[in-house]
Amino acid sequence: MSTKELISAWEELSPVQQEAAKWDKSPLLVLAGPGAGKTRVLTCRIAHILDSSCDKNFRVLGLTFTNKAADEMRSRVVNFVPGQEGRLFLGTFHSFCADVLRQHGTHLNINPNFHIYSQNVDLQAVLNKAVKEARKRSDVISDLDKKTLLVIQRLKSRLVLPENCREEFIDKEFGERMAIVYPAYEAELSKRNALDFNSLIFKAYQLFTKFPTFAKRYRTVYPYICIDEFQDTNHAQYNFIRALTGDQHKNLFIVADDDQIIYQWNGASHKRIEEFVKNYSPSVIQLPMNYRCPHEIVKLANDLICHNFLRTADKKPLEAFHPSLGKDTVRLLHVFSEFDAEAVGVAKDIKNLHSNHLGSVVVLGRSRKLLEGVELALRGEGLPVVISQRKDEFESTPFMWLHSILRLANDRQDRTYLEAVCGTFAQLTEVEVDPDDVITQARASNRDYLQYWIKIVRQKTSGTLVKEVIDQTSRFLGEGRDFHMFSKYALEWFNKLIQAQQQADSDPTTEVFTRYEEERSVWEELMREITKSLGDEITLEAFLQELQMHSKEPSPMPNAVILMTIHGAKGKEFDHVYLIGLVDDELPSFQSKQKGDNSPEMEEERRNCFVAITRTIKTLTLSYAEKYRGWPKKPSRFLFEMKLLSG
Amino acid sequence: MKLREVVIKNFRCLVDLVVPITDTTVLVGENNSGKTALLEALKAALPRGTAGRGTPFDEYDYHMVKTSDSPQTSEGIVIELWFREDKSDEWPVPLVQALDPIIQTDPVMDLDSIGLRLSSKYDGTAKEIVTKWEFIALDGQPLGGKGASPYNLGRFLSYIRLFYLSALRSSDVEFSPRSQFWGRILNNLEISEEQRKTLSEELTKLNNTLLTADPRLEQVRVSLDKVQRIMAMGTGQNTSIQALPLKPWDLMSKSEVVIKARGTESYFPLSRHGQGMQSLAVLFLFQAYLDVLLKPTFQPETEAILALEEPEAHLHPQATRALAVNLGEVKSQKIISSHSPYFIQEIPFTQIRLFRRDGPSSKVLYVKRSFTANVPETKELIEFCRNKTPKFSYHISDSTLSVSGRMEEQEYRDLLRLYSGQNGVHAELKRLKNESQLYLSDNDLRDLDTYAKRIRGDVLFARAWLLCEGQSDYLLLRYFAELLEKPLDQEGVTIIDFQNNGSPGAFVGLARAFEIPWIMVCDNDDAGKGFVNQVKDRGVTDDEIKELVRPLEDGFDFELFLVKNGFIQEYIQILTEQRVSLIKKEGDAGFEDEIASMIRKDKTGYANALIEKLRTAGADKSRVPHFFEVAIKDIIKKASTT
Repeated sequence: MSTKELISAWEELSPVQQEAAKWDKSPLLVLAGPGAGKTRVLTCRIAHILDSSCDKNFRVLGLTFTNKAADEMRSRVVNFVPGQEGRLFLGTFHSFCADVLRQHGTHLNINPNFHIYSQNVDLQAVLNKAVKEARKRSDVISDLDKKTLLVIQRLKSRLVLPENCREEFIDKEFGERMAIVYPAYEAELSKRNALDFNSLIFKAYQLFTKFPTFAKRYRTVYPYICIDEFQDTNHAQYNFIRALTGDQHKNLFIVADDDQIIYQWNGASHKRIEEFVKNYSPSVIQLPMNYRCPHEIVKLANDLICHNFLRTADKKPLEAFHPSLGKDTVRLLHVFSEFDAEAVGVAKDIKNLHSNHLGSVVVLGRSRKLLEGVELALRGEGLPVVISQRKDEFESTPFMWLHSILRLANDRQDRTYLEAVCGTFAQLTEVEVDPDDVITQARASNRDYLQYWIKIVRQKTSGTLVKEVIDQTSRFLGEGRDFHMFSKYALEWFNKLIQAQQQADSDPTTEVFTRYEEERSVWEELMREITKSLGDEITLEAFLQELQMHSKEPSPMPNAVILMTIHGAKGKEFDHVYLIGLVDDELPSFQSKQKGDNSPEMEEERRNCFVAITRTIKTLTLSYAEKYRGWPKKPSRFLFEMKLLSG
Repeated sequence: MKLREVVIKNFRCLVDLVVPITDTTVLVGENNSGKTALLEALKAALPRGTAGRGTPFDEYDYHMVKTSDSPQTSEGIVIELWFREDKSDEWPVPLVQALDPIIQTDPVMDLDSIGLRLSSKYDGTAKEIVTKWEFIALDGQPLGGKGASPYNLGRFLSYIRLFYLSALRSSDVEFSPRSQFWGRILNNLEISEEQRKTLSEELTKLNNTLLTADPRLEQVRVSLDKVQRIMAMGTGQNTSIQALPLKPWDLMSKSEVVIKARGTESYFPLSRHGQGMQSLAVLFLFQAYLDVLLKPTFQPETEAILALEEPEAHLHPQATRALAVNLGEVKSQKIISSHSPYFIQEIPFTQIRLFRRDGPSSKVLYVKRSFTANVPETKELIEFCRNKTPKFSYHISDSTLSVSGRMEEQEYRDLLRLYSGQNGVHAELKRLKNESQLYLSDNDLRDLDTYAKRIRGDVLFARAWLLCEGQSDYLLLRYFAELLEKPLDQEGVTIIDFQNNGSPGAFVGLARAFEIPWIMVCDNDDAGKGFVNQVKDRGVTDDEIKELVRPLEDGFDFELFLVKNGFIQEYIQILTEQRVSLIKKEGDAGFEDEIASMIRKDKTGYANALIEKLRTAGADKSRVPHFFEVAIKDIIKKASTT
C-alpha cells in the first residue's frame, strides 16, 4: 500500500515526468535540462519500484556524483517508502565501488579494511616514497618524477594498468620513467593497504572484467540501475558501468543533460551520451520544461546554448514554466574599471538589495581567485560570507581525537593514528602519553596499540573525567567495536570537558574547542547520513572509509552570502545569483580560448555559463570589468550570445 | 542451498576433521567415535533462533586430553560449515539477492558458497570465553564490510533450518502441542472466524448434553459452587464443569494420532504402540512438516537439514531397510548416524563417512571422489584445467588443483612440464598422481554397492578383510580358520570373494579409503596374475604387494594346490562316492591334474564335500596347509592391531 507521501508526489509529476518515473525494465535516457525536476523523477521511480516489490529481496542501485545529492534523494525515498531503505544503495560511484571492493576485493589482493587516501598530501607522500624506492633500482628516475601525481591520476582515470602505461606517451623517455614510477606508486599504496579515489573505480572495474561472475552477482542483486548526472561520467566510470551490466543486462535508467557537462577536464565527454545510445539503444524521454528559472533566464539559456554544436541532435530548447518576473530579473551591472572595483560593486549591490536575506544569495565565479576578491569586498561591507569548498579532515581537537581513535580502533597497529590520538588527547586532558611507550609495550605482546594506550593512560591519571573516558573507550572500542555508542558518549564527554573548563574559570573558547560547535553538527550529520546510506549494521571499517569520501565542510551559516565556483554549484539552486568575471580569459577561460573558438573546451566554457545562470530561482546579476590583474580584457563573448550586449 | 563440507576442531573427540557432505550422508562407526558429536556440532552452529543466544557449549565440549586441561587452555572450538553450489547459478535468485553480503564466489569456477564459522575460545585479554558466529571468505578470513554485520546470521538462518531428531524419539514429546513439528502444525491451522464460532456453539451444546446425561454431575457442580460463595468472588459466575475443551484451539491441542493395531478393529493412540512405530511416526511427521509448513513459515527458498540419530532404533531389519529407502523421499538434506548394517546396506558407499577412534581423537574415512594438491597458479595450469574440465579443476582462492579421476601418465607428464625445475611442485604432483590411483570409478562403485546390498553393510564394521577369488575359496578359508581355532567372524575378519562381486582393484580401493587392513590370496594362473596387476594399478607399492598379495605357487590354482597339498585322498573318496570315473590311476603322471580338473567343474560343490569329509573325520589344525595358515594368522594379527 503506497504512502500518501508517495501518492501526492506522484500526482505532482507532469504527464511526461510520470511516463519516465513509471518506466519499468529496458534502457531509458531521460534528457532533462536544468530545473526539469529530474531528482523528483528519479526518486519517484526508485520509490515506485520499491513500493511495488515489498516482498522481494532485490535491491535498487542509484549512482550520483555527490554525497549530498545521494543523501537528499535517499531521505526523499525513505519518506516515500519507509522501511524499504535496506533494499536501496544510493551513493556516489566511489561509495559503490568501495562497497564492491569491501565485499570482493580480496580476489585482487585488496584487504577489505583498506584506507582511502583523499588528500593530495597523502598521495604525494606515497609518490615520494615510491620515487625514492624506484631511484634505488633505476638510474633514470630522479626527484623530478615526484611531480607526476597528476599523470598517474590521469592514467588511472583512463584505466591504464601500470604494466601497460609505457605505450601511452609520445615522449618515449618519459614513458620509460612512468613505466617504473607508476608501478612503484601502486606498490607503495598497496603496501599501505590504501586506495586513492581513482583506484576505487579502477579496481572495481578490474574485478568485474577479470572475474565476470562478480558483475553477474551485482546484476542479480541490483536488477535496476539508475544514474544521475550521467553526462559527467568519465571514461573509467562509464567502463565500470559497462563491465557491471555486461552485454545482456541493459536495464539502465539514465538522467543526463549534455548541456551541463562541466567535467570534461576530468574525462567527461559529450560523446558519452552518444556512446550510451550506441551501446544500450535506449528509449529517450525529454524533459525540456524548466520549473526553476523565470522566463527571462530560460530565454538567456536557450540563446546561449544554441551556439554549441557538440550536443544531442533533436534536443528540445528549454521551456519556461514560470512567467516573466519583470525587468529586474536579469541585470548586467555597468562595466567596472577593474576587478577590485567589480568586487566592491557587487558587494555593495548585495548589501543594497539583499541585506535582509543574505542566505539566499550566491556569488558564482569561474575560478576561486575571483571569489576570494569578492570575499574580501563583502567583508569590507561588513557582510557575513562563506566560501564553499570541500574539507577533507576535521580541524578541531575534539573531533580530530574522535576520528583518530576510531581509526586506531579499526587499525590497531597504525603508528600515525596512535600519534594523533596521543597528541590530541594531551591537548584535551593534559595527559601526555608517548606513542613510543605504547608501541614498545604493545610489541611485547599482542601489538594492539589501542589496548596499551588505554592501559598507559589509566596508569597515568586519577582525574575522574579522564578515567571515565578511558573506561568507555575500553568498553566500546577496546573490547567491543560499537562506534555508534562510543561516538554518542564522546559528544557527551566533550560537553563535560567544556563545562569543567568553565568552572575552572578558564576560557571555554580556548584553541582546543575552536570550531567545536560547527564540527559537532558536521559529525552528527555525517554519522546520520552514512548510517542511513549503508544501514544500521554498518561496520567501523566501512564507516571510516565512507567518512573519508565525505566532505567535512559545515553547512553554511543561515545568513551568510555563499561564494561558490560554478562546479561547486552543480545541481543546486539559489534565489539570487551573482555571476562575476564575465570577460574573455575568465569565462571563457584563457585555456579554452587558446584551443580555439569552436573547440570542445570553448563549448565546455559555454556550458559553465549555462549551468551558472540556470541556478537562478528569482534574480540573476552579471558583472564584468575592463581590467583583471592589470590586464585589459574584452567582455565575455557569452554576454553577446545571451544578447545582453550587442555589437 | 546444500551443506557440502563440515570442518571441526577441538570439539569433544573431534580434534581436526574435514567431512564432505552429500545430499544424504550416513555416519558409521563404533560407539564414542564422534558421530553424535558431529551432529551436535551442526546443531550448535545452526541455532534455532538468534535471540538471546548464549554459548551452545559446556566445558566438556572443549577437547581435553590431560587432567590439567580446561576450556581455558583449549585451542578453542571451531565449527565451520560450507554451503556450496554444485553448479553455476544453482541457487535461486531471491536467495542470492537476500544473502548477497555473505555469499562468496569462486571467481573461476563461478560457484557460490557461504562459509559460516562458529568459534569458541578463551580470550586472555577479556578473561572470558568468547563465542561467536561469523561468515568467512574462501580463504577462511572473516568477512569485512556488510559481510561482518551481526544481522547476517538471522537472515541466513531463515534460509537454512536444521532439525535434530535424537535417538530417543518418543511420540509423547514429539506429538505434544509444544513440539517442533506437531505443535507448529497445530498452531498454524487456519479456522475461519465463522467456523470457529459454529464449533464453539456446538461444543457448548455437547458439553451441556454430557453434563445432563448423569444427574450426579450436577450435584458435584452445585457443591463446588459453594466454594465460590465462601471466597466471595461473587462475580455472578457459576462454577461449571467442562467435559470438553470449549475452544477449538484447546480441542486441537488435544488431538493425537491414532493407528489401528494389526488384527484389531480399534484405534490406539500412537503412544500405546511400540517404540518402533513411534519412532517411525516421528520421522514421517517431519516429512509432513516439510511438506506443509517449512516454506510458508520461512522463505520460499528455505531448505531443511535433518540431523537424525540412529533411525533404525527399535526397528526390525525389514523395517530398517524400508526406512532407508523411504528416507530418500524426504525433501531435505539428511545427515544420519547409524549402527545398523541393515540400514547401511541400502546406502551407497559414496554417502558413507566412517568414524574411527584414533587415540584421544577421531578420524573420519570416506571414499574420495576427488584428490587435491597445492600448486601455484599459472595461466598454463588454468588453461590445462579448462581443457580437462570437469576432471581437473583449479581453485584460485586456496591454490588447490583437484582431480576427480585417476590421473593418467600423460596428464601427469603434462603437469610436470608446466612446473619444470620446481622440485617441490613435482613432489606434490607425484603425490597427487599416486593418491588419485585410488579413485573408484562409477562402475567400481556400482559393483561394490550391489555387493554390499547382498551381503549387508557389515563389511564396513570388519576390522580386516581377507580377499579371495571365489565361493569355494571362501568356504575353505572359513573352515581352515575354524580348524586353527580362530573363527574369522570372532576375530573381526570378513572374507570377501571378489570375483563375483566386483574386482580386486575396487575392493582394494575401498579398503584403502576406509583404511581397512587386507590380505588377498589368489591363484597363480593367468587369471590370478591379472588380479595382481589390477591391484598394482591402484597405486599399491611393490613392497605392499609383496606383503599383502599372496598368490599360490607359480602355475597353481586353488584346486591343484589342494590336491597337491594333502587332500588327494579325500578327493579320490569323494569322486568315487559320486561315481565319477577317472581315466588315470593313482601314481600315473598327470593323475593329480585330472582330479583337479574334475573338481574345477563344480568348485563349490566339491569344497562343501571336502569340508564335510574332513569334519566327519575329525580333522585338526595339522591338516591346514602352511600357506593358508600363514595368511589366516597374518590377517588376524592385522585385525587385532586395528
